Amino acid sequence: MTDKLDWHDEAELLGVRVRAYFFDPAEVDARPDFVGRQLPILRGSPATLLAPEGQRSGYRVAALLAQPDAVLSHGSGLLCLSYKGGDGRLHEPGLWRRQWRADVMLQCVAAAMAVSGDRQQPTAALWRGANLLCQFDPSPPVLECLATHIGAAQRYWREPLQVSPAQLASFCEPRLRVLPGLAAPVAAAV
Amino acid sequence: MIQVQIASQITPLGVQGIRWVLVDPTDSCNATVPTPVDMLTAAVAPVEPSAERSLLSMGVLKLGVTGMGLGLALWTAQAWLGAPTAPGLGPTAGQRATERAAVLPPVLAAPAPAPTLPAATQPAPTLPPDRAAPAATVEPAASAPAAAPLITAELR
Repeated sequence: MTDKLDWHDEAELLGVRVRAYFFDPAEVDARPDFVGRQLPILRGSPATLLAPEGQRSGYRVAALLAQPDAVLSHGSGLLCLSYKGGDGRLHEPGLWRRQWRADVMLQCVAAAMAVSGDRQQPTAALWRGANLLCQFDPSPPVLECLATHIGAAQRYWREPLQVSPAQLASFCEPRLRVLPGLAAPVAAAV
Repeated sequence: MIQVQIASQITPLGVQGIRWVLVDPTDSCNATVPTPVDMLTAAVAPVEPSAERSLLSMGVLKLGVTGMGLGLALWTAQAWLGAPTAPGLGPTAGQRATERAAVLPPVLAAPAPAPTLPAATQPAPTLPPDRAAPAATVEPAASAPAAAPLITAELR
């Protein structure tokens, strides 16, 4: 087994390096095991679910409370996976950047931050769409923006107890769009 | 501060390339978690003071904008139509005439009437029509108020 995974494409979108893996949903959705079905690029890997499939646990850091669709243990770290978000559309391999939703991406990163802060383990953020699996590698400005605006997002949304990743993402997205150097996407094929 | 570690890469056996960021646990709208009693009190409060202040300031702002608009409209009307007069606040006859003059298109000035020269110096009836015409074209210039050619001739 090689060290690198076979991502099909890669792009920098709003300060986040996005790695994309396209698959045939008809074939992948029929797989019996959770990892092979939801994380097709990691099929056969030792990743294991922390909680039974379909059971969502809460993870909290400061006032940020996330309930990701699945959290898996993978080697020394964790995988924070969302697969219920998005609009269910199929992504074209050549057009997926145009179809991309930054809010979904930032939600996944925020959820991974909550999981990592709660479990104190390195966590990777992943999103699985209808025919696309993505891994997000946020740049330091994106992480800093999300980490330093939790309280402000909580006040903005008038949430007395906690703020969700979706709320934090929608609060931070316009701020990230005006940061110099983040708005212009730079794409590169793998 | 709470450490958050985001993995930048995934390998078949684990995660790689950790990015660190610190989260301030006190960065919250309320450092202490409110009790249910506090939440109930907040829920039954009719209007928050900040909301009341914002409503009041919004009303004052609306009033100010309306007043400014009314004042601007009055000033514009006065600048274009003139100040209203006391009886009936309507324009006077002179102002109406001025307005009509301003509204009517300019009329070409009528040709100046031929000066009536004394009969002794103007034997008009005796002149034939072909010689009388040039005299008629010269006469208006001579009868102009400036009469510059005559003054120049005197200075010389």
